[in-house]
Amino acid sequence: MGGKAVNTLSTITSLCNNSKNAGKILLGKTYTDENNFWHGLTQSITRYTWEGLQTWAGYNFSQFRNTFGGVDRVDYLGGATFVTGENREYRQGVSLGNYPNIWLWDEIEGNFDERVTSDPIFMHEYGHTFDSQWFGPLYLPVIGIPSASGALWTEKRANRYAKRYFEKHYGVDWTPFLTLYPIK
Amino acid sequence: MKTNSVNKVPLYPIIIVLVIFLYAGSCDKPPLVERFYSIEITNSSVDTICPYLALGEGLTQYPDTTLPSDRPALVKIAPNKRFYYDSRKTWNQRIDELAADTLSIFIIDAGVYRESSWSVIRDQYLILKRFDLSVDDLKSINWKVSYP
Repeated sequence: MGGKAVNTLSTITSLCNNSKNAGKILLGKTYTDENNFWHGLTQSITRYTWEGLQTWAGYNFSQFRNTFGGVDRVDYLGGATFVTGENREYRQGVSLGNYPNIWLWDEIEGNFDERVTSDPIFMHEYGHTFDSQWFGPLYLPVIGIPSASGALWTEKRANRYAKRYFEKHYGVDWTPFLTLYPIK
Repeated sequence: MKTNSVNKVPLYPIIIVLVIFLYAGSCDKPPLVERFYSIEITNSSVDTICPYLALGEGLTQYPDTTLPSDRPALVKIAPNKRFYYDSRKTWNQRIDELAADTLSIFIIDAGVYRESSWSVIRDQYLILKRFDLSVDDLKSINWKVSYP
């Protein structure tokens, strides 16, 4: 009940600031992977059960970020709702449930899929969504906190998932990224 | 005996959670965020380019400005596009780990990289340009390198 109160508040304040972004974040709750039926099916099952905590946190964080003007666009890919701030001071990201939040130095020009598949930060954050599905309620302590502290093993895991997914569905060659986004 | 305590929602956990979200939603680096330190390379030329960053790790590094003996896998940057070389360590730290306080960035034409053998590129030094940049140089250009 308290969780629903937070949902309501974050959604209303976000709608007041930027209704388009808020609406897309809200619709992201029902969006699942269009590239892989089984992945989409498991997403729809685990999102509100096993990984419900981080889905809730990701949703509310995204809406509050939009409330404060931190979101410039919201896009969908592979069942994830990418919440992006452009022209920010740093490039950074955090993935909570199916809500990867990204901060960019520049702006996304043209097709979103093209940007994702040529910019490893998006694919890396998407890789963490698989961790969220695997670890469920343990995602934040086991992956989230070490990852934010710069633990290499969590980064490599996310890169491996990203490599596997984007090679298979988008034909991305990960080898040029290996030096800075290693997999082992 | 009747109790209505189950119907009462304790307010303080909600307030704590709200404060965390309000703080996280409004600040520059919210908790759990992975920050990447980046060098931006922009291709302002009319040709597609492939930059090679001499980062050491068994390969060449400044002051050795030869190309490595093994063919590196390189990112292609189309005209008027850019690419971000992200690092979880700061670039200060990365460059400090090199033999000299300088990072060499070799710009190779994508057509040459695709069609020529690496030994030819290496022996004939088929590069379009080489940037030798210290940390101070990179700071002065705000970590943004533009070719040409």
